[in-house]
Formats: sequence, C-alpha cells, structure tokens
Amino acid sequence: MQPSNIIEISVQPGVQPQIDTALGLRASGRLDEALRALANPNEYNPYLYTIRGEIEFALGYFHDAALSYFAVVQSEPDNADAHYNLALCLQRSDRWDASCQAFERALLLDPSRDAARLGLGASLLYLNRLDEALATFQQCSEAAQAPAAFGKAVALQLLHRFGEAESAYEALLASDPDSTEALSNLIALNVETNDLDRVRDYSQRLLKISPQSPVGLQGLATVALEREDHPAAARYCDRIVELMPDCLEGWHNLRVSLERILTAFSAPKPVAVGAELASEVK
Amino acid sequence: MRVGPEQAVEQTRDFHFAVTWVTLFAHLDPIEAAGPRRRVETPAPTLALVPVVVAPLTEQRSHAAWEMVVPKMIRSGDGNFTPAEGEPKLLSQGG
Repeated sequence: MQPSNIIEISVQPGVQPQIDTALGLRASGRLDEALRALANPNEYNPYLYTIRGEIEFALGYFHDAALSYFAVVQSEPDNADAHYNLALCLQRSDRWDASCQAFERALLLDPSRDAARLGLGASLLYLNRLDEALATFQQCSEAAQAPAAFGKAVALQLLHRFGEAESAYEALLASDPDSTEALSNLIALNVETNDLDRVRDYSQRLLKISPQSPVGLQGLATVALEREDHPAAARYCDRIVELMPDCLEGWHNLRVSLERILTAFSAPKPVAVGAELASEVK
Repeated sequence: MRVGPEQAVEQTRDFHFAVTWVTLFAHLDPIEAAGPRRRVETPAPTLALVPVVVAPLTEQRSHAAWEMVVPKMIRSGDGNFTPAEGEPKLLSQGG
C-alpha cells in the first residue's frame, strides 16, 4: 500500500497529459469529466482551450465556451476556425452584435467560409439589419444555395417585400416540399397581407406534414374566425389549447366561438324557412 | 344569462405569427480541431531604414535626406546572418 505522504508527480511536461485525458473521456461520451480534466492548466496552451471550448459548446455552456475561444483568438488572431466557433458561442448566448464581429473576422481570414456568412446573416436578421443580412446571404456560394435562399426569403419578408419573399419560399418548397419553417413563414406572410385563401392552403399543407403544428392550426383558426365559421374555429381553437395550454388567444377565441355558436342556437328562428330547408335537405 | 343587444360583442384576438429562421442554425456547427495548430513562421524582416548622411541640425530642417539601404546578407552555417562584405559580425554583438 502506498504511504499517504507520497505525492505523485507527472513526469510528462506541460498540459499534454490533461489534453490526452480529456480527449479520451470525450471519446467515451463523458463530457463533464473531460471538462474537469482540463480545469486549472498550469500553462496557457491554445489547443487545450480549443478542446475546452468544444466540450463546453457540446454541453451547452455557450458563455464559458465563448471565453475559451476568446482566449484562443487572443493568442492566435489568424485562427479562422476559432473566430468562427467564438461567433457561434456568442450567437447562442444572444450576443448578436459581438457574434457579427467574430463572423466578420472569420470571413476576413477565410472569405470562402459560407457557414460564417450564413451565421452572420442570421445574426443581422436578429439585429434588424435587414439590408445587410440580404446582401450577406446573396454573397453565399452555390454550395450553400438552399440555406442562403431561405435567409434571403426571411430578409425579404421582414423588409415587407412580400411578393419577392413568397417567390423565394416557393422556389425553396419546389426543392424541399417538407420545409415546415418555409410554410410557417408563408402563413405569417399571408396573414399580414390578409390573403385568407393562401393562409388556408399553406396551413393545410403544413398540417399534412406536421399534423400537430400550432402554426397550421392557428392559420386555419384565423381563416375560420375571419369567415365566421364558428364551429370550425371552435374545433381548431380546441386543438390549439390542447397543444399549447399557454396560448391565451386560443382560449379567448375558443370561448368567443362557443358563445357565438350558443347565441346562434338560442337566437329566435325565422318561421317561414320550410321551403328553403326542405330543398337543402334534399 | 342572455346577451342583450346593448352589450358589445366580444371580439376575437389575433394569433401571433412569428417569422422564424431556425433552419439557418442547422447549418452552423462548430468546427472541431483535428489537433494542435501549427504556428505559421513569419520570416524575420530583412530591410532596415537607416540615414545615410547625418546632416547638421540646422541643415536637416531644409535638406533632410533619407534613403533605404538594403544590406546584402549571407546566411552562415549556424543560421545567423552576416554582411556580404567585411568581417562577420553578429547582430547581437552591437555596433
């Protein structure tokens, strides 16, 4: 048995043992332990901080990961990957402005990096810098055509260029008919332009792909409410509150629809409708 | 309770339809390092800006003249540099 007063001292220099241990633990899926293995390094090593950033990102500790990558870019300002990863961490920490700067630095170092351009465009959309976002998506290469086209459609929609946006979404749907987000955005677009037929059509398409889609149900409920089809509105609202119990509009509109149905039942009926009813029944 | 005609009919409320772009984030994954990054060696500067003639202070005001001189250097066996002409002289030895 080893006496307790003996201290084990690693003969391997630097932080390499820590890195090797962390990589082994990460490979076996033990991310928390891998991260602990990288704690308190006795010297600065950019590779250690890179691995630490990767593990922190995978664990969802985006703020910590940003700090790790920030350390890397300080010592390696020409490291485009580190700038890009830093930008992703900042983006996921809702630091949109700072993420734009990091994406821009990554692009300065590597102008062919489409992912950085997509990320930059996404952050610019959050910052409501819509013209810049549109220009950024337009600079993407053919390799990133589909996501760039989606970004362009969103930018156009937010710029209220609805016709162009709808065409862009339709082009996307031609190649990817199951794009639920494109359909959701088209529903939002047509609600804004008050084109109820299109709201209905896109909602039905969305519900065919995703029968539990709240946006699809809300689209159909909107159409039913606008057209005073109270039974249909009540039916859609009932499903909406079942799926989204926090949807206050859903509860309100369900109650209003039910009240209108009851009012219609309790309203005095006209007497001389026999001939019309008879013809309908036939 | 019956709703009288004098009571205002309750209005429906608009649902909130948000424009989203979550799809874009599906294309944004971090790049994993394959290993320690190799440092790019930056070559040592070989040019020096030196004054050729040190004119008296009074003259410098109106006739200051500077010229760039590129000394011809020879790499010695031990990786150091020596001027092409004259005695070999290490930079660290001064003057």
